[in-house]
Amino acid sequence: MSLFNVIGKREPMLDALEKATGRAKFTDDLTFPGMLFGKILRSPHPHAKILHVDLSKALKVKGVHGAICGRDIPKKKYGIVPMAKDEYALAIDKVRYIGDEVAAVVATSIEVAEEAISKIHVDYEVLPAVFDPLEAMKPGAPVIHDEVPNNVSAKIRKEFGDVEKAFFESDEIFEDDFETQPVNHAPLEPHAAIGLADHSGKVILYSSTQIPFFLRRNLATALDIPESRVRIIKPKVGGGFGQKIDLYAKDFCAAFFALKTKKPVKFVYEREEIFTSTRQRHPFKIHLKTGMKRDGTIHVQQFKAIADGGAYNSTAPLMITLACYFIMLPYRIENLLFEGCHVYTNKPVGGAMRGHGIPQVRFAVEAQLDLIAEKMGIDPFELRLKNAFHAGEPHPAKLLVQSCGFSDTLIKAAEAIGWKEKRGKLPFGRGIGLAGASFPSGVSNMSHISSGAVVKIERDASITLLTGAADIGQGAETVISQIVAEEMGVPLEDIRITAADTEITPLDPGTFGSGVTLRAGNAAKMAAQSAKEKLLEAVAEKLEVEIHQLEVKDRRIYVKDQPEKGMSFSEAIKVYQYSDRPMPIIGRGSYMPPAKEPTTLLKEDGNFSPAYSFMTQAAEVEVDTTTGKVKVLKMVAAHDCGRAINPMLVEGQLDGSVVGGMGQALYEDVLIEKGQVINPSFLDYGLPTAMEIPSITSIEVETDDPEGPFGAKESGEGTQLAPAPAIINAIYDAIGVRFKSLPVTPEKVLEALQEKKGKTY
Amino acid sequence: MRLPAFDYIEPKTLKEAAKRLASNKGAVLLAGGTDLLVNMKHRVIMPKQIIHLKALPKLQYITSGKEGLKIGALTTLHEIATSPMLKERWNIIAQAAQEVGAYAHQSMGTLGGNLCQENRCRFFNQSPFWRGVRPPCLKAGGKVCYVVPKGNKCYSTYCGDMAPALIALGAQIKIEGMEGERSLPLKKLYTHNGKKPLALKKGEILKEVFVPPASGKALYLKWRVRESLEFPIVSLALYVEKDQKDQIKKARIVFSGVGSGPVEATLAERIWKAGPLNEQTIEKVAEQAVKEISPMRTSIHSPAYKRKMAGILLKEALKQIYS
Repeated sequence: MSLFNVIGKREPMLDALEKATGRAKFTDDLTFPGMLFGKILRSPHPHAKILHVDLSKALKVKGVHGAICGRDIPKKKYGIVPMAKDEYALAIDKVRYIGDEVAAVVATSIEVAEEAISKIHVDYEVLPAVFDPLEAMKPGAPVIHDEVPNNVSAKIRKEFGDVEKAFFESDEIFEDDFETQPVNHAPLEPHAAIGLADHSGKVILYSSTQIPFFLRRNLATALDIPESRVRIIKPKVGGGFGQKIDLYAKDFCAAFFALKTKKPVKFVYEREEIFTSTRQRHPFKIHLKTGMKRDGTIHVQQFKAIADGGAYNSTAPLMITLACYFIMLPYRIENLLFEGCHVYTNKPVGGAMRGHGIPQVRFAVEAQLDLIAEKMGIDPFELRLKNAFHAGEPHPAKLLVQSCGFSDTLIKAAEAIGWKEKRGKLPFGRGIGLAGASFPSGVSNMSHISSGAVVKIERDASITLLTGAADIGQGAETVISQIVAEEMGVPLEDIRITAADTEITPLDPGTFGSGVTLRAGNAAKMAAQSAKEKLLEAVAEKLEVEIHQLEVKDRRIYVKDQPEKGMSFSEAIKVYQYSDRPMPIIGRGSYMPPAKEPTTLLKEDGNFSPAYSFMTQAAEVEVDTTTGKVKVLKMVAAHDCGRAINPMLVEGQLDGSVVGGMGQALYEDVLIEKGQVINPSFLDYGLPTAMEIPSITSIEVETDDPEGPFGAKESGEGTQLAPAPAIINAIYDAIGVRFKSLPVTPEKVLEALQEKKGKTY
Repeated sequence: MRLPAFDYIEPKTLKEAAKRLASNKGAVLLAGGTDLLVNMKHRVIMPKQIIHLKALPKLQYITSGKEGLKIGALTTLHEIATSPMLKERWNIIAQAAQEVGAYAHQSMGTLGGNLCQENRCRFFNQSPFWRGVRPPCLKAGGKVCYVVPKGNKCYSTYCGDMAPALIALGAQIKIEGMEGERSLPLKKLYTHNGKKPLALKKGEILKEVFVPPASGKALYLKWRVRESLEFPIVSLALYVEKDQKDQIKKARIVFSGVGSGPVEATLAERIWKAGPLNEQTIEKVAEQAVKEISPMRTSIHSPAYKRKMAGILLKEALKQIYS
């Protein structure tokens, strides 16, 4: 029998019915009396000086309530990472990519706003542009930001062990180059914001955001007003995948115009704007050198990674740091050198995307491991198992790994895909492959790293939870409510939750770095515990026992060894009140992960995340050798998430990771010609559809992490790391072609097959 | 993306629709709207008036008799894809309809609309913002073509699924116009002029598709990356009919996605007809056929890739049709 009552249960998401019936309200579903609609004018040039913006004709269009450009806004740069602020809400002196924001209007209808936008006249002085990061790094290349004359806006170098010596000691050395493509997050809900201003000059912003508290800080900065005058409310959010952590012009403009016009103002992005003017996964060029010992030990690895950042930083320094930190696991590597940089180009902006810098590097590592295995005559599965990291082992860079089910995920995934029976034994065109990975359960992200929660027990024994956590569709509210229900000994239906409103709910770093369950979950658990203890105090007094003798379960509080001696939850409330204790009962929790900040880690070793998840994904593919089309037949996702608070939601994440991984491996590519995205639509940007989805087997490996709430670790972003390399490795098994650049399109496969055929003749 | 403003009418008869269409220069016809409305949202078509054909009676039918098959122009692609009669006796037509877009497109889209769909180009099927990066292209009313910058011709590509299948079957169409009704081979509907791809005269409306009895074998193959949604990178329809002496009487190869209209590879057809059917002939037919198509860089796929896939697809199709 399970130790738990609510934890581990396959509870449907709390808002499942609302969403399934179309009643859930996303930002664009909200409407307010007198609301104005906004549109943004964007740059048609990849790089140009703004000489003059003439708004006069736009302002004359009937129904227009305002028009602004860069000169009208506070000269305050913002950025998601405080040390890397480089962006204005509307370009002030220069535009740096096609789609950069130049001006904005608000009007009584979208049609009027569109007409007004078309009447804005901008004088540009077109500047030479640069689209390739290697070109951008050369002396004499166009300078995109004056403060960064070499266009390298973030750089890291991290070394541990003795890399030079280790290569000397290695029996075999492997060197390969890899390349990855830009990928768009493509959340189904378009980015939207609605601003409202009150009489005191405070602005309320409804926004499709992943991090209300970051948005509050960034918006206050950009508007140049105190944080206390900004309130962010997150309605339902239809997916983010990292794209909705940043502040965008739509947020700024909705708030700015609301303050200016005193009317509600709505901005919604078109799908094309999401492709050109939000964020995308950074394309990487990676040089990877690995030194191996004869017995199959990975002795040393050296990385050179160049990230094509596009026109602005967004998360640049953090992204390149993460790329480095998460190649230190899941394998034991004693010596490592990582040199990475983020380079500006006149293209759409790179940002956080599920895995955040790591999927690119992980692809290189896992693809090369298979190459190494083959050259050294070792089974790729055995090679990974031999080098697998284990819990409690000292880590060369001092990461503190308290729970680690990596070996288990490897063994289970291999078994489920039929490794022994199939690897290297399937007919030409069919193959299997696998790949491993690890991810932090929340990173310390340079500012808000704490999470808070409040649990209130009301007079009718109902329980209210306030959390700053931002549910963006993954089910965070459900999971955190389950944690509180378990702690309080009541069923899930007894919990009411209010989340993600900066005026009402406590500080939280939002959906970022895959830390929601651990951070917000721990905070909520602490709050529940604290509220419960206050109630138990009264009950213990009444029953004349000690608090620690009491247990709560199924809405009853009773003495552990005498279950009949006790009372219902609502009786307990009465007992509490009759003992003249103050109502309501309020428990508070504030949780701070015991980890160092990534920026200090670059200078010294130390722990990085409160807990680390581990996973293996395995793929079986079929390659049509006539046309080059790859069909993924089966995916196995074995994930160590510590403990699945809600297995159904973990499986949802794993299913999503397979689709995302397939996209990265086979389908998706933001195609850019001279700085212009040439496929900015769901027609031409080939996201896998339901027709492409294979059979998916999810395996949860439970390791009961000591830091996680009820032992839970992340199961969101980390799951996105392994599927793409697993698919690429399976393609190698199927046709003997090793692809080192993504995505592997039918065109590339066909070319490779024809080349291979040529060689064998 | 939102629609621009327009007038809207629902004529009660085909005659009235034709009259309205002829008298109003800025009028266009709306059937399922899956092509038109997207182009309007992109502002590449800005009609003053939309003539919605949905109220017209009796244009939604599939009938088959001794003289052949008749399909009303307003029959939806979904009805065609799921018709048991078509599946049994004219499977290539059902199959081609099944390949169009995704389920929603098939539910809304009509046969007539599909046959009359606009040509496509990566410089044309884009938003005003996207196109605003450069002066307008020929097809959008400008003076230059960005596919072949030195040319003074529009290279937009025909990307329909139904036309190749129906042309391979020798389909005829009935057109209603101001001067009454006329018939012509479906093949003649296409001008191969990217700027004005359809041979319809002022006020003419496609009314019915007629397919003569066909005793041969037919096949439609479509190449695309995903199994749904996409237009063909290249697609082709084959039709082969033999006489009693087992000699090929009719052989047709019709491509989509590789020219400004459906492309029939007539020289390749002759090689095929001359036979004999073996690997060598198949190679020769494919080699000839790819010379007769003229893919251009009008989509995200390169002409070289389209050509390569056209050859591979044709060889596959020839093998399949005989297996």
